Amino acid sequence: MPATGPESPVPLEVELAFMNDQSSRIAIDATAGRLTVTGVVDSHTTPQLAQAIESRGLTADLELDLSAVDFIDSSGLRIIVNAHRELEAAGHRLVLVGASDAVTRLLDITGLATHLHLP
Amino acid sequence: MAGAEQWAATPLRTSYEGEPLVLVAVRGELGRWLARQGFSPEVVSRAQLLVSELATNAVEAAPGQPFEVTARRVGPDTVAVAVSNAVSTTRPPPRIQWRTPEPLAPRGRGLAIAAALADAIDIVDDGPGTVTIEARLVDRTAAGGPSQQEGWP
Repeated sequence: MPATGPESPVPLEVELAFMNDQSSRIAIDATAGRLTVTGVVDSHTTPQLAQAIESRGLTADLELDLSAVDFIDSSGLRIIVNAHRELEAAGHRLVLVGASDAVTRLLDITGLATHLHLP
Repeated sequence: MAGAEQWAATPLRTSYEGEPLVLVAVRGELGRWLARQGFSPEVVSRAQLLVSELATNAVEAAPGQPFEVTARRVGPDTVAVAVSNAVSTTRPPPRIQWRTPEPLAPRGRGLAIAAALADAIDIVDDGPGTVTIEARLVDRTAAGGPSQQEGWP
């Protein structure tokens, strides 16, 4: 960014946070019955999450650990809500076993905190 | 908090290609600009989610078409963040409809979330071939004062 005009220097901790934010990466770790999601969940990365959930099938409960999600927006929420609905329809549950602050904020804004199975 | 003399700081204006992979750059660039302007981490965090929603909408409405993100200070504690689609065949619904009908609805949350995050939001330009949605965010965290809650309107 060109530095034109009076601008405050950016604190070091803010710069470090933005360095990490340069990667729109998602990592999904699959163990028995649980998917652990790390990183960014936006419309660029949600296809990977959707695929990971779909490959689990609807034959058992699914645990979703979102405690390491740095960023999530409505694209990610859409995937989660749809998985919740499909599992419920199949007689099973989607259980959020962990939710980062980013996840909690979004659930609170959308009123979904009382509809999903939370930690 | 930045003083009144920083009102005239250079606005942010960036065009992006209409692909989801740009969203990380959209959020990052806006966040850096806001931080340099002296806005609080609360505003930065709120603005990054808001712009992600508006930009996602822009990409879905006109995939492959460029969209523009602008940010400008409109008061000592207020920033206006806007997203414009240069070409759009799918226009957003009127402002009054930006509420998700039910929490478990399959889609349609983006604009409602943006509205919940912003202190004010509206369609500011709906001319032929262009739509611009602008949101205003107020920084209520005063340096040295009691910390403000991250409350949603």
